[in-house]
Amino acid sequence: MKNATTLYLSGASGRYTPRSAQGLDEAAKAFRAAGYRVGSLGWDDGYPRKIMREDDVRWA
Amino acid sequence: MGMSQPASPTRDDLDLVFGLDSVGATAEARARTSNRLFGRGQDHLGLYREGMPARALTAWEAYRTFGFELLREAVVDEPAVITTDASEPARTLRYRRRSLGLELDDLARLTDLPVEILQRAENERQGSSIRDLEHIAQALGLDERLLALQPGAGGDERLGVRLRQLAGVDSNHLTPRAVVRFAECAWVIAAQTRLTRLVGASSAALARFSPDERYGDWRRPAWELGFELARKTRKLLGLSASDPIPSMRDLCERGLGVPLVQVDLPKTLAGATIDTLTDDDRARGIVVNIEGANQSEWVRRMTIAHELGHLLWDPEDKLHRLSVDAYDDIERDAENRRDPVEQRANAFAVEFLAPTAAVRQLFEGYRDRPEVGLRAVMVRFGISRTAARFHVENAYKRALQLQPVEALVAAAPTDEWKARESFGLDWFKPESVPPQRRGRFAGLVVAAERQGLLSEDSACSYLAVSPADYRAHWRTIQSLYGA
Repeated sequence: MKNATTLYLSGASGRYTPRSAQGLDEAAKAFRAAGYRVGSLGWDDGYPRKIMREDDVRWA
Repeated sequence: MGMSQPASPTRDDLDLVFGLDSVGATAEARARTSNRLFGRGQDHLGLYREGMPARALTAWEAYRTFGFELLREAVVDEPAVITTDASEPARTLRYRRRSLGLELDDLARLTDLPVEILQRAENERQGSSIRDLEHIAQALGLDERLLALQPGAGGDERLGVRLRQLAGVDSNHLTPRAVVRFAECAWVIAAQTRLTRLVGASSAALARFSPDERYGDWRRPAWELGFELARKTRKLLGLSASDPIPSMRDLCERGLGVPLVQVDLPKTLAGATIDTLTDDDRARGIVVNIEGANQSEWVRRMTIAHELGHLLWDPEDKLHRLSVDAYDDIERDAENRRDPVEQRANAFAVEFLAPTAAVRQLFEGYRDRPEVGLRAVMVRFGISRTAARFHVENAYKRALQLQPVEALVAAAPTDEWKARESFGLDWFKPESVPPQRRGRFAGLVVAAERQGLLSEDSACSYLAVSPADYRAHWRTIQSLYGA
């Protein structure tokens, strides 16, 4: 989380890794619906990003 | 190279990382026998799955580059983070391009990549495709395996400085195109040196040579020393004192294990020696222009022999990481050159290809028909008309003047010489492989891929070809240029 209302979402959770960009977007939408401003870190050649590249963050 | 290794991974860890089908007690042995593929993106490493855009690496490649711990992390906590500094690899690519004196437009034109791709690669706030990053790194003479892993990506800083220096001193010669070509040739030479070791094709011959710092004085001129070193070279290589060298290409690459890179450079440049580093080891090679006068195989042989004279006998400080020779420097009588380093290399070249005693013996039979004799020397030893004329005249201590008959002599090499020296270039398939990656280099890439040490994806990246082209032609490459 960046602050109380903004969070960055990475698909790199060891337990619940999304299998596709769509899966990550779905998760982002869920947090958005809960009132957060959500930025998704996106993908690195097929792997969910753990390293953030600021300009590539996609805001839900 | 790579991360620090744990003392000894447990058997369970080895099974986990390399799979149950791999064998051996050490991580290295298991990596060599593993069928597992790892995938790398710009910043991450994980297991490779069919169809992913990531670069597929064999377990061996991944292990050698990233070390066991990172591979373990890639399996357990997929993906593992490669990048140790978020400003990488953008910072390294930006710095390297600028240090070579290249504008973004130059690099875009010379790599066939859009400027936007290059801008993105140099912007640490943006991610890039690993394939684009590798393409740029190879063109800049960086070790693409180390992108994001090590600042500087294994680029030889002193080679960069030398290229910049040469571009500044004589911008007519070292254009941006020449700078990028030489940087890529340095990459080929470093990669070929690694591959040669990897597939067990190293030659011990180079180790028999140690630099000779004598460049002569008024009593013993440099050209005499060049002759002496040529005779010594034949002896060290077990060659006869008088026979022709059938193929300079073969002698360099197979006999000596010296990479010979044939590439299109500006027409005034003949060749160069490159002395660089790879995996903290020295990698020396020869670059030969396929444009201009070198289109004649006989002139090209002279160029290769001249560069070999530098590479075998010049001390490291004279090689300057990159030494470039123009045609004007090489196709000239050794005795009339001022620079003793070049004079010695010129004399070495002609004496190595055509030993004076043998030339004189041959020419003696044609004293009444000097134009026939001159051509006979050219055909027997595979040297150009200009080189043959100077050499015969010198063999007779200038008591003979051949200039009046020179124009009567055909300059073109015979088909036999063309076939021997151009073999690695002209008939190479697939044609999509750029000239600088053809021949022996391609043979070593295929050998490493067939031994399971390089992935097919890496082989394609090394040869800059599509998988379809690779699959259609690897057998031919293997049979013609294999290790």
